[in-house]
Amino acid sequence: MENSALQIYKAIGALQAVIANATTLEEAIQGGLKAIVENAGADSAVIWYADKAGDGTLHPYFWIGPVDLTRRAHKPGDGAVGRVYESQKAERLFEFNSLQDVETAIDFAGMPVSSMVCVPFTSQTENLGVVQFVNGESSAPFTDEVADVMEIMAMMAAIAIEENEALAEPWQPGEVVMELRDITREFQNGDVVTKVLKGVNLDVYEGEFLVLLGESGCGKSTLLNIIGGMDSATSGEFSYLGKDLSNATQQELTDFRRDNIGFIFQSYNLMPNLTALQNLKLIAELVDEPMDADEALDVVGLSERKKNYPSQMSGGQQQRVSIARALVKNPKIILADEPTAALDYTTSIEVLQVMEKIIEAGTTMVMVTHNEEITRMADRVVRMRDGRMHEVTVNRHRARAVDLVW
Amino acid sequence: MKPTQITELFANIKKTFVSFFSILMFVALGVGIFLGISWSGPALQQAADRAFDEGNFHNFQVQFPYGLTEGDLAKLSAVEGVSQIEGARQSYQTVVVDGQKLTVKVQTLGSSIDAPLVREGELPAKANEIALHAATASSLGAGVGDTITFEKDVAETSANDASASTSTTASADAQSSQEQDGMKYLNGRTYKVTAIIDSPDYVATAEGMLGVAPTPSGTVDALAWVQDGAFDASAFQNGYPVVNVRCDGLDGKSTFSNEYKNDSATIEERIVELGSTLAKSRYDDLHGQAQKKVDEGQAKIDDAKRMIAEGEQKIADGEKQLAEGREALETKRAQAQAELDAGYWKLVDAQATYDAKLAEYNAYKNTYDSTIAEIESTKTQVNSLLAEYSKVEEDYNNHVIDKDEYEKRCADIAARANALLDPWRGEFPDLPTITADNVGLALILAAAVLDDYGDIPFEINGRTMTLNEAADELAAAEAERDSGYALLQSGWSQYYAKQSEFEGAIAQAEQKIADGEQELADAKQQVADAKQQVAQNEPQLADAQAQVDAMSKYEWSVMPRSYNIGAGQVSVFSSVTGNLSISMAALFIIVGLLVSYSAVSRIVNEQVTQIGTKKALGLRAKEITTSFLLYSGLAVLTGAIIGTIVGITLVEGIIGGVLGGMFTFGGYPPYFGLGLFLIVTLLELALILGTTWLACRGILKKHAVDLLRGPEPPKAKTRFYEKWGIWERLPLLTQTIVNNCVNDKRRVFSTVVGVAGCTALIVTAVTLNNDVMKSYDRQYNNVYGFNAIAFVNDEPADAIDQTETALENDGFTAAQAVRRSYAFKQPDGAMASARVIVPMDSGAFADVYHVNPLSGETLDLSQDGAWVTRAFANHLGVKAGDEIAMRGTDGTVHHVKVLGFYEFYLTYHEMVMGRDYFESEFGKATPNVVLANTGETAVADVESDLSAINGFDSVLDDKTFQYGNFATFSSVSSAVVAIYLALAILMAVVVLLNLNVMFIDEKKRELIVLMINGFSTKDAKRYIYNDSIVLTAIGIICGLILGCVMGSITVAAVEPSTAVFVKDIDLMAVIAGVVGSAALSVIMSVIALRRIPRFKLTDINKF
Repeated sequence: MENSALQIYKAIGALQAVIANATTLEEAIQGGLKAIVENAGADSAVIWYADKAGDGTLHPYFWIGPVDLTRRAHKPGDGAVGRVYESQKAERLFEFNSLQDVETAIDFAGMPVSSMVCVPFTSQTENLGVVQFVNGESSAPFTDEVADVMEIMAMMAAIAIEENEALAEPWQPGEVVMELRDITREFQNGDVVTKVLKGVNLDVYEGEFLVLLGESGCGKSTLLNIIGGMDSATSGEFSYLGKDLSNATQQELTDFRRDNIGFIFQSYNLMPNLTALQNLKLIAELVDEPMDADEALDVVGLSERKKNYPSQMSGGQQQRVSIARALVKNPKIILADEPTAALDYTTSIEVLQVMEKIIEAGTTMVMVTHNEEITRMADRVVRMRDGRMHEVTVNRHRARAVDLVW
Repeated sequence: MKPTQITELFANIKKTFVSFFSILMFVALGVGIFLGISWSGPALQQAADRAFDEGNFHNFQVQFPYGLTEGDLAKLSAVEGVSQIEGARQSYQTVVVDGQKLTVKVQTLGSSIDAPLVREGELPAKANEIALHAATASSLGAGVGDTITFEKDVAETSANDASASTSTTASADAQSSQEQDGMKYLNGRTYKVTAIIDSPDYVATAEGMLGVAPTPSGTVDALAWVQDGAFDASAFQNGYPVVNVRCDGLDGKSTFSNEYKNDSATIEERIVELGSTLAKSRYDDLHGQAQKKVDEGQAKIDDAKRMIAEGEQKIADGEKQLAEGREALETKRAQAQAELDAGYWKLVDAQATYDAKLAEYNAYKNTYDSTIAEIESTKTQVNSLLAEYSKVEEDYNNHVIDKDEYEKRCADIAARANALLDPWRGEFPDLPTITADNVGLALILAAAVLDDYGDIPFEINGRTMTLNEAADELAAAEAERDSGYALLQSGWSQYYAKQSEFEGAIAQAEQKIADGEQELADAKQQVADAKQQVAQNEPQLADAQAQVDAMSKYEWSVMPRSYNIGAGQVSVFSSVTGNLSISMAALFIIVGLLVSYSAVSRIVNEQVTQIGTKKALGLRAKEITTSFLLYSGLAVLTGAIIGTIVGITLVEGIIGGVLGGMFTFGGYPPYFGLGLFLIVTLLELALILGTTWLACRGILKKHAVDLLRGPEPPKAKTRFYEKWGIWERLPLLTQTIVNNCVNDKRRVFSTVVGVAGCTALIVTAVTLNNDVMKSYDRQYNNVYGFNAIAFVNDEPADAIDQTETALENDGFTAAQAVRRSYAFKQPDGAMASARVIVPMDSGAFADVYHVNPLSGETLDLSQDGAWVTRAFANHLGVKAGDEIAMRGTDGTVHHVKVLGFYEFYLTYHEMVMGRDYFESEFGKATPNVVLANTGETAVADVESDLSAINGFDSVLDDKTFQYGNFATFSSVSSAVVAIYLALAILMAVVVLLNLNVMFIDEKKRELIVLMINGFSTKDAKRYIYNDSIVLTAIGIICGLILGCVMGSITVAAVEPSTAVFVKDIDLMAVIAGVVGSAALSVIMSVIALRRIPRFKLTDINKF
C-alpha cells in the first residue's frame, strides 16, 4: 500500500474516533480538524462559523496554524470561504494563486499559501460554516484523496452529531492593543542556540481574556515575557497601541510596564516585609492615576486583611493581593502567569472569580496556564507548540469561573 | 569521605564561591593580621637574637662602682655557667661640634664579648685610635680618617645605661671625688677615627636610646670605643667597673624566652652570691686604702701646722733683729751726718773766703788785664794808622794822589790818632801831639811810648802802682789763690769721700734691713700659704674622711640582657605588637564569625530544597551537616594558609619595615611559629565550624517535606509599633525600611557589624595615630609650659641665676628647678628611674610647669609629699598617701609620700615636690636646670646666647627631643594605621560588598517583581540603598562607639609602661570613621548595585 493511501486510512480512522467521542458538533469538527492536520499533513486549518444571528458573516472560531485570524471575516460569497459557504460546495484550490484569490490570501498573511481546500460544514438542520485547510509553500499541495477525507470529516461530523447549534453571539474583539508579528526568541547557552519562539503572530485585543496554553517549553511564558515587556524578541515586531516596541530601550520597556501592565505571578511574589496594603501602595506610587489601594483590596475582597503581612495570609489571599497589586495601577493589560497553579481548587476558583470580575470590568488579561479548564473562561485560547501558535480557539460560549471544574 | 561528597563539595564551592571566598578571606584576614602582628614581635626578637649572637653579646653585665679586680674576674669566671668574661671601662667625654657640646660615651672595645660589627674601616689597634657607633657617627660629623678631640672627661661611670639604676648613681657618686678638669680617665685627648661600627650592646637607634650620662643634661649623644689601653687604669683603681659575662649554656635560647630567663636567673643568682662576698672585700680594701690616704693627709697637715708655728717664731725673731738694726742704723746715720755737716760748713766757709779772695784777685787782674788790653788795642790802632799813613805817603809818592789829597788824608789820620791817644795822655805824658805834618813820626813815637807801659803807674783797686808792680802782685796773688784752691779742693774731696763712705754704709745697712724685711715677708707669705693650704686641706681632708666614712657598701649589679636598652626596646615593641594582635584578632574573629554565619546560613538557605531532597533520599542530618562543615573547614584551612602567608609576607613586612628602622640590624626575615599557627587555625576552625553547625542546625531539624517546598520567605508579622498612630503617618518608604530591617535581623546585624567593624577600624586607626601625637601636643600645651631645659653646673653658684636672668632678659619665661633622677624598684623587681622636679620658686615654676592634679584639687606644693605622674602611679600601683622608695645618688633610700597624681603624657616617670619637702627628704636643693619657654626662638640660638655664662652647660630642646620619642611610637602606630586602614577597606570589600551582594541577591525576587511592575533600575537601586543608608548609619554609630573603645584599648596597647597617652574621642577619627565608612559603604553599595541592571526580569519564572 502506498504511503498516501495509508495516511488517508489513518486519518479516517482517527476521524472516526474523534467524532465518535465528541459530545458537540464543535468538538467534533475541532477534533476532526486536528486529526486531519496531524494525519493528513495540512499546515493550517480554520473553522469559520457564520453569524446566524447577524448577516451571516463568517468568523474564525478555531484554527490551527501560526497566524492570528481573529479579526478576519468573510461575507458569504467573498473569497474562497465565502464562496463555499454560499455555494455549500467544497473548493479544492490545489494550485492556490494568491493573486487570483486576494480575499483568501489576506487571511493567511504571514503564511504563504500553496494549496487550499474549503469544505462547508453543517448540522443536521442548517449550514454552520466552512472548514478551511491550507498548506504552505513548504508543504506539498493537497491531493484529491486528502480533500476527500476533509469532506468526509465534515459529513461524518454532521451525520454523527445530532445537535442544534445554539445561537451564539459572534465574539467582537476590541481594538488591538498589542501586535506581535513574526516574533522569535532565541537563547544562547554556550555554543547552543535554542529557538524558543519561532515566529509568533498574535494580536491582543482590548478587554479580552486571552489564555496562552501549551506544554512546558512551548514558549508560552517567553511569549508572555515579551508581551509584558520583560523580555525582548530576537526578531519580529512588537507594538503596543501602535507604538513599536520592537527595539525599545530598557527605559522605554520599563515605562511601558509601569504605565500599562499589571502582573500576577504563580508564586504571588509579594513583598514579604510589607503588609497587603503596603504592597499595593508601593506599586500604586508608580503611576499618576492609580486605583485607591484600599479600593483595590476591596475589589479582591481583602479589605480586612490589608494590614496583614503575606506570611499572615493564605496562598489564595496572597494571590488576591497579587491581583489587587496588578489592578491598583489601573493597567491596560494584566498578565497572569499560572495564577492558580499553586492553589487548591477552591482557592483557585476564588482567585479566578476575582479575575473574572476584573476582566468584566474591561481590563485586558493575558494568562498563561496549564489548566485546560480555565480556557473555558477565556475569550480566546492560544495553544502554543514548539515555539509557535499551534491553534487558536475563540470561545463561542465562555464559561463562568464558578462553573469550572477540575 | 566518599568521592561523591568531594565532588559535591567542590561543586558547591564553585557555585557559592563568593560565600566561600568570604569565609576564606575573613579567616585569612583574621589569621593573617593576628599572626602577622603576633609574629612581628618574635621576628624582631629573632633578629635581635641573631644580632646578639653575631656580636657575642653578653648574657650579663656586672657593674660595680669600685671595679672588679683581676682576682674578682678570676673568681667570676669560675662561677658555674659562666663561660667567658671580659672587663671594660668607660668614661664620658664632651666634644664640640658646630658649636654644640655633645656627650660621647667612650668604652673599652670588646675583644671577644660584645664584638663590634665593623661597617667601615678597621678596629682601633692603638691607644690613640677610636671607633664610632654607626648610628651616632653622623652626629659627631666624623668618619674614618677624621680626628676627634675631646674637651675633658665628664665623669666615669660603670653604670649600665639600660637600667639607669642604682649603679649609675652609685658609680657617679663614687667617682665624683675624682672628677677633675682635663683628661682624667683617658690617657689622650685626640683620637683618630679608624672604624664605624655597630655593637650588640646598642641595637636601638632611636633618640634617647644611648643611655644616660652623669652630665647636667644627662644624655649620651654618641658612642665610641677605644682600646682598653687608652684608659688610665689607675683612675679606675685598677679595676673594671664593667664586666661582660658570657654563658655558653644560654646559647641557642632566645633572649626573650622564658627558658632563657629562667636559666639566666639561675646563673644570675650565683653571680650575685659571689658578688656579695667580693663586693665587701673590695669595699674593705678600698676603704682601708682611702682611710690610709686620709690618715696620711692628716699627718701631713699636722706637720705643716708645726712648721708654720716654727716659721712664725722665726719671723718674730727676725722682726726683732730688724728693728734693732734699724735703730743702730739711725744712730750711726745721725753721727756721721753730724760730722759731715760740720766738715761741710767748714769747707763752705773756706770756700767763701777763697771766693772773696779770688774775686778780689780777679777784679785786680781784670783791671790790670783790661788796662793792658786797652793799651795794646790803642797800640794796634796806632800801628794801623801808621800803616794807613804809609799807604797815603806811598800813594802820594807814587802820584797816586796829589798833595792836597795827601795832606787831607794825613790830617784825617792825625785827627783820628789824636782822638785815639788823647785819653792816654794823662798816663802817657810823652805821647806826641800828632799833626798832619808829623803824622808819620808821631805815630811811630806814640807806638813806642805805648810800648813802655810797664812802668806807668795806674790806679788799681784804689792803689796807684805801675803795671809791672801790679803784675808782680798779681803773680803773688795767683800763687796764693792756687794754693788756697788746692787746699779747698782737698777739703771738698775729703768731704765728699766721707759723705760717699757714709752713704755707702747707710745704703748697705738699709739693704740689709730691706733684705731682712723681704726675708721676713717671704717667711710670712710662706707661713700664710702654709696656713692657707692647711686651711684648704683640712676641710678636704674632712670631706675625704667623710667620704671614706660614707663609702657605700655597694653590691654587684648583675644585669641580664633584659636590662639592655636594645633588648628592652625589642621587648617593648614585641609587647606592643602582641597587644595589638589580640585587639585586632578579637575584631576579626567576631566579624569573621558573623560573616561565616551569614555566608553559611545563606548557602544552607539557598540549598534548602537540595537538603530536603537529600533528607528525603535518606541522608542523615549528620551527613548533610558534614558536607557543610567540610565546606567551612576547607575555607578555614585555605584561609588560614593564605592568611599565614599574608601575615608573614605583608603584615610582618610592613611592621618589620618600621621596627627594623629603629634598630641597627635593620630589616630582618619574617617569623613563623608552627604552634601559634596551629592554635589559631584550630581555634578559627572550631569557631567557624561551630557557627556552621549553628547555621545548619535550624534547617536540618525540619522535615524533608518542609524543606522540599524551598526557602521560606521572611515571615513578617505585625509589630507593636504598627499600632502606634505615628506609624501610619510615616512615609511608605520609611515603613518599608523599618520593616525590612526588623524582619531581616540577620542581614541587619551582619551589615551593621560589617559597617561598624569598618568604622571601628578607621576610628581606631586614626585615634591611635592622633592620640599618640595628641599626647605629645597636650603635654606641651597642658603640662609643660617650657620647651627648653638649660642645664647648669653647680659651680659657680651664681651660674643658675645668671642663666635664668639671661633667659628672662631675652623675654623668655624661665624658672629654676632641681631636676634629678632617682632609682626605684619596679613591681617586677627591676630598677628603673624617675625624675624628681623641685621648683625653686613656685610662682615662676607655675608659669612653665602646670601640675594639674587629676583629682581636680588645687595644687599645693607646700605640702609634705610629691605629686606623681599618672603612669608612675599606675605602674607602681600606688595611691595617694602611699610611699615610694627612691634611691638617691649616694645610695640613700628616700621615702616619698604620694600626695596625688597629675596628667602627664611623656614616656618617663616624673614627680614634682616642694622645695622644703625635698630638702627634708633628699637634702639641699641645688637647682641644676632652668626650664624656659623660648617660644618661636630656636633653642640653638638660645644656647649660643647662654654659652658665655660660666657654669652654663647646655640647652636641651626638650620639645624636639621628646618629639623624637613620640615619632618612634607614631611610626609604629602609622604602620598599624596603614594596616588598619587596609583592613577597613578589605573589610568593606569583603563584608560590605558581600553583604550588599547577598542582600541584593536575597532581594532579587522582590526587585524583579518591582521592576516588572515598573520600577526603573534607579527605583530598584533606591529600594536597596535606602536600607543600606539606614544600616550604614546604624553601623557607623555602633562603629564609632566600638572604634572609640578600641581606639582607647589600642592606644593603651602601644603605651609603654612609663606613659599614659591621651585616649580622647578624637574628632578627626570620628569624622574619618564616618566619612571613610560612608564612602566605603557607598562604593561597595554602588558596586553591588551594578548587579541590579543586569537582572533578567524573566528570572521571575525561576522563583
